[in-house]
Amino acid sequence: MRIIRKNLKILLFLIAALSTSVGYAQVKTITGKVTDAKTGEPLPGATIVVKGTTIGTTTNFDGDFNMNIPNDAQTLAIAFIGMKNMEIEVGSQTIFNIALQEETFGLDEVVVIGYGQVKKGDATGSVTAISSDDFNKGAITSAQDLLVGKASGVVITTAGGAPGSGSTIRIRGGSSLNASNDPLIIIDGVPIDNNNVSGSSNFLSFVNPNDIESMNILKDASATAIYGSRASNGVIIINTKKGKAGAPMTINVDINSSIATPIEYMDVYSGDEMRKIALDKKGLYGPDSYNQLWIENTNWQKQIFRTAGTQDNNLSISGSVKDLPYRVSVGYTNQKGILKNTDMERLTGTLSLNPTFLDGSLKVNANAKGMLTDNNFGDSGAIGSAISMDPTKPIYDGNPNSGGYFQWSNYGANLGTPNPVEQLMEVDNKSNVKRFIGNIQLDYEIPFIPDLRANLNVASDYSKGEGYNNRPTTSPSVLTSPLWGKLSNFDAKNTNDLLDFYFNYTKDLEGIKSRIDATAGYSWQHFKREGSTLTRGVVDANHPAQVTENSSFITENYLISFFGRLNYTLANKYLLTATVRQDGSSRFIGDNKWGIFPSAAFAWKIKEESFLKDVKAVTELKLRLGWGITGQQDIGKDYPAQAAYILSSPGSFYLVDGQFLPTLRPSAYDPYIKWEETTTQNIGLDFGFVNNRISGSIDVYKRVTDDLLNTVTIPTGSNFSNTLLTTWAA
Amino acid sequence: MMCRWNLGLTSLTTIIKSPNFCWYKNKILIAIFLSALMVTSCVNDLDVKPMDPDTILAGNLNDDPAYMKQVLGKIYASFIIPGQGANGGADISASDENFFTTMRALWNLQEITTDEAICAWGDIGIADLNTQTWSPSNPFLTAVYQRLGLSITYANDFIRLTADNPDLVQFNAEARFLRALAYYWYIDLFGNPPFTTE
Repeated sequence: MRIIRKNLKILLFLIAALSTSVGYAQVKTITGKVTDAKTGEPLPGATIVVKGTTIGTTTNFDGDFNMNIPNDAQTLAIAFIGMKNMEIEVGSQTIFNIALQEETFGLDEVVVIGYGQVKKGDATGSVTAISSDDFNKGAITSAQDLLVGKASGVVITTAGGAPGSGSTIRIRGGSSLNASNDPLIIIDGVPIDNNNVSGSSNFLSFVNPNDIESMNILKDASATAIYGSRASNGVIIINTKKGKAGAPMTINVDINSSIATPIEYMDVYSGDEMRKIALDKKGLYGPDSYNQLWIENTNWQKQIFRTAGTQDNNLSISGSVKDLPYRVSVGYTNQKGILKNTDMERLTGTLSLNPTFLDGSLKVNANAKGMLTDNNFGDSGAIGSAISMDPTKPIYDGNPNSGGYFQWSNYGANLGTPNPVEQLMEVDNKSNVKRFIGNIQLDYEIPFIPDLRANLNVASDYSKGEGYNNRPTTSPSVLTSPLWGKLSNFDAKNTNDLLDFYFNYTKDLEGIKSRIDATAGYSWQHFKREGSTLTRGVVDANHPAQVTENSSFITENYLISFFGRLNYTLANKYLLTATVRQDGSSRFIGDNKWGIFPSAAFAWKIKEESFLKDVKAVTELKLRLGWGITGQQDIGKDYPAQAAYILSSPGSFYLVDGQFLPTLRPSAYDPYIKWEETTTQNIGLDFGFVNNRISGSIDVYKRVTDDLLNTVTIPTGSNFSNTLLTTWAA
Repeated sequence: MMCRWNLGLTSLTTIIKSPNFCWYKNKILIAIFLSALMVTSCVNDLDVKPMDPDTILAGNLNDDPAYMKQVLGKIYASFIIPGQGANGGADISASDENFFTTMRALWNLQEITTDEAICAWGDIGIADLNTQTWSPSNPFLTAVYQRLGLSITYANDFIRLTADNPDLVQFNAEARFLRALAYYWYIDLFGNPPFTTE
């Protein structure tokens, strides 16, 4: 509604502006001077424009200007590079003395760090903040794509481009061999589980890219160590958009359509070329080879690819009801893949409420994010088949045994390339994924101890996926072996819970020109995963029931951490950060459960020193030194240290005393397995020149991983397998 | 959450109900007390046990008399079945678990290398056996070495488990026989293999 009203105003204004210029309305002459508000010096070359028109002029060498403007001109817009733009109501004035304020870029920006935020100028670690203005634009359906190429040291690799598929994110490369190399991703204070639930191809797909306000990338150990246990591969903190107190209601509608098309195919022989080779090289391929070729010219790649459209629609409403800021958004994405029979349909919804109570001393931040996704995965194996399939064969030959498709299996070759069109179009490979993440964060300024805040964050992340991957009985055996047809169902559920609690104390000690910012807290996380799979053949009179997989799993692990951080600033020039975190993981046992991860960083704001303070050309100069240790325990297995026996699943039973029994196998285990530790050293220099028009930072780092968690081949007879996941000290 | 909140709340009500209770003075105390309680009770969460009913901890093997039969069954199965199926995967990590079971590899090594059999299939390692040109890196050699060693390790474990149990004397003896069988092939194929009995 507001948009329309606003637009109406602009429209009327435009009509008015247009009609005045057409009607040669009366003009008046105005004069004035544009100066720098700080120094009072005149600004030559500043532009003055009557807003909404093309009537304008620039100031002369002395900063003076004069121009004729229509009598009914309402607003003057004044712009000068390096200064803040300014607008002035014209009214009845004819002489304007305009003082422009210097625009300072970047200096007041904040960067989000673990359990808090700091001014960008005060950050001691290697942190890159990317706001929604900087994000990649265009047809973007996954959050990772917003970041591609936006931060140094962050490499994002797409996983093949299927609809909705995720990307691999690596911050400064990987640091582990067998453990996870994914960064820790924290959304609105909730560290999320990077493990996809079955049926989902992107663990970040529940975040609508349109809802993201900023992404902060923590690269070095002094920044990440506060997240100790899961931070060896860097941290990405994502904050979503929020309503603002007192802001009017804003409705935002985004409608995006895009089209994707394959631009290049693999260069393969056509049917004619194959026949020519067979004829010309009879001596090489044998006299019979030409007779094996048929008369078609099938371009298999063109048969499986298509031009595909994507729809991405978003609606968000934000504002404030009395003192309750809110934001609600709904997003709908329908992405078709360029490979036929692949698509993704996604519905996301978010609600965030940020009320404050008790005269602002209790801040509440409640977020709920939901997602429903329908995936149709098709069979990307058809791409490989299309490259190797014989181009002299038709798509269809009318054979009823293969559903009308040409198939080698009907011509005596059971292991031949399956017909790519049948492989792609006749598969029924779909999944449905639901995910919900909710959290409530309470931030309370404790009234009787000034400057002390208590922060409690409780979150739950629930995702559920179910799906199937079926093939008809007319599919060739190379795709369904050893079954006749194939019916496969799966379902999975991930439940993760989190509780964070910390105190923060901030104090300016003016007597010794110091500032202290101390944080101490506790974090509890629980990850639980379960799921099952059933794969079987189609049953009829000639084909008895056959099950190749009937399995289920349930597993959990806990992480418990105590952490503390001290930021000490002396004379706004020397910044010191020290953090320590003790983490306990249920994956390890006994004394190995706990790991201690310290870090320290020092930053020197050279710009604030007296010898640089007045040098105008240098806007910012800061040296950062950091050192820290981070831990790794994300090894995929939850009980690698416990001696246990595993029952075999159906299909692997053994005949004991005339009865098929599941056998019990001792599992390989390492009771001494412990935390992997990565030590990072970082030296960085942040600089900005000429009012930050040229700015940047240079970081040099060294990262060493000790006690690698690694699957190694072990001497025969030393454990219950030939390989063991163990702590591998060089 | 799952961390015995109720305990914390009961203690809190006790404090509030006490006659000397002064809300403001005790608030910090309660906060510290509450968080301390929360912390101590949650640390115990780190002691987890596998939740999957298909996983039986070594300490629970005596819970069901059928278990020992199933552990013994595994020693028999280890000669012919590649692993536990979807539950735990193959016993050894190899490029194709079915390809490299003990019996299959044993047969290939013992028969294809002689005039008794020839295998025309082009899979890796087969041609070398036909033509007597195999090297130490032949995958069947690795597989049979690791799998026989594993059968011996399973047997050693089972013999230790059943050593003092008068009801399982026969099981123990069967495991000893299977271990001897594995050593027979081991010595036959490799001459002087490592010898482990526990």
